[in-house]
Amino acid sequence: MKRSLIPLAALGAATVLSASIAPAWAYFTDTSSATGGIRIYVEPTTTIEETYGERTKHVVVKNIGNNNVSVYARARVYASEAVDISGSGWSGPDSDGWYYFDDPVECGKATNELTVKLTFPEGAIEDDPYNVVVIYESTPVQYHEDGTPYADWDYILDNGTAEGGN
Amino acid sequence: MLKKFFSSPVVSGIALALAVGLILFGGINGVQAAPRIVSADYRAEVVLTNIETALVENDGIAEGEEDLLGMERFRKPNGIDAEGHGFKIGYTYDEKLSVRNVGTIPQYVRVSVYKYWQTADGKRVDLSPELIKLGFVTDGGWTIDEAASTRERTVLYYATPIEPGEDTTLFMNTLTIDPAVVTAVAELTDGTEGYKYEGVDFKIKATVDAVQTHNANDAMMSAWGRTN
Repeated sequence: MKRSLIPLAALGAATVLSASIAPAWAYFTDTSSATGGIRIYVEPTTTIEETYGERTKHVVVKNIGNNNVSVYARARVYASEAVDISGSGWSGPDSDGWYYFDDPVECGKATNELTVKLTFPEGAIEDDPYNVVVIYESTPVQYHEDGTPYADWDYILDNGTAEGGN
Repeated sequence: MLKKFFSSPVVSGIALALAVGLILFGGINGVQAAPRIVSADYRAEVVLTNIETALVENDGIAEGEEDLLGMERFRKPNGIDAEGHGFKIGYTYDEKLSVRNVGTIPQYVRVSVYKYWQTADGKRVDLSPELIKLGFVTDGGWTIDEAASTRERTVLYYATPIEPGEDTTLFMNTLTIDPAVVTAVAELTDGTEGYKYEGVDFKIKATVDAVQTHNANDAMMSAWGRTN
């Protein structure tokens, strides 16, 4: 090798070698990360149960779900005769004709009883035909930002009917 | 006569022997002498600098998979069990997130917060991340980078450097799942209707990036592709 090329070769070698030094000049950095999540349940499962005796229908709406979704329930009565409707915790009828159970119903629990008592016309006998239909609807409990529960009846997610009569 | 004396083989041999003796015993003397010239003790400390950052959730450090929204920091205090039962749709939960400098040098930080829906089969891109409502705080030094943010990701920068051991102000303080998830119904493959969000996990991921404050602009450009 010519003597004049030696410095040039040394410079080339230094350039190649110094390429691997670059990471040592990098800046101080760090990264930290965390992940998490929560499963949500929205599907309500409700049913209506009724018993009848002494011209009175007794109705409860049960939350039979097992996913911890509480519900609000409401009921409406259609009868061929005059009826007297009442029940602890129930209010109504509202202008829309529905009776509302005021408190959320948790899973495995039921509303208080809604009683529908028929008032027969004078002279009616035991075998006279009559018909009473109770329909119900439920909607999952939702919460305002401050934690207050509320029902949004624009979204009916479960409903059913209980019929009875002679 | 002197010349003849030094050129004598006997003299040369004696001189060689003396030289070898001097080297050997002189060396030993030197070693033996060493302890007598030890100076007083001098101590020096080397401090290794390191940069280390941590995400703080409700006053505790959160790091790794499934550590955010965990039992001790989020679920138990809010009456939510391990499976998510007890979570209230629509309620605004406290979810306070900030950044702590757990290293030894000052640092600038940015955070990227992701929100999405997921099932066992993976990410559900058909479900709306907008229904996971996160309350970001931008009046305490944090700024949202709108250009880098998407419907799933929000990127925030903290304007001032954090000293070792210090926390930033909160960059997020609330979490709400929009009640619209309750009313979202879709047709299933069997023709019936089902609840789109039933049994789906909402997920949050927060990533903190820290850079040194020395030559901060160059460091940020190198690490983040932009300055603070």
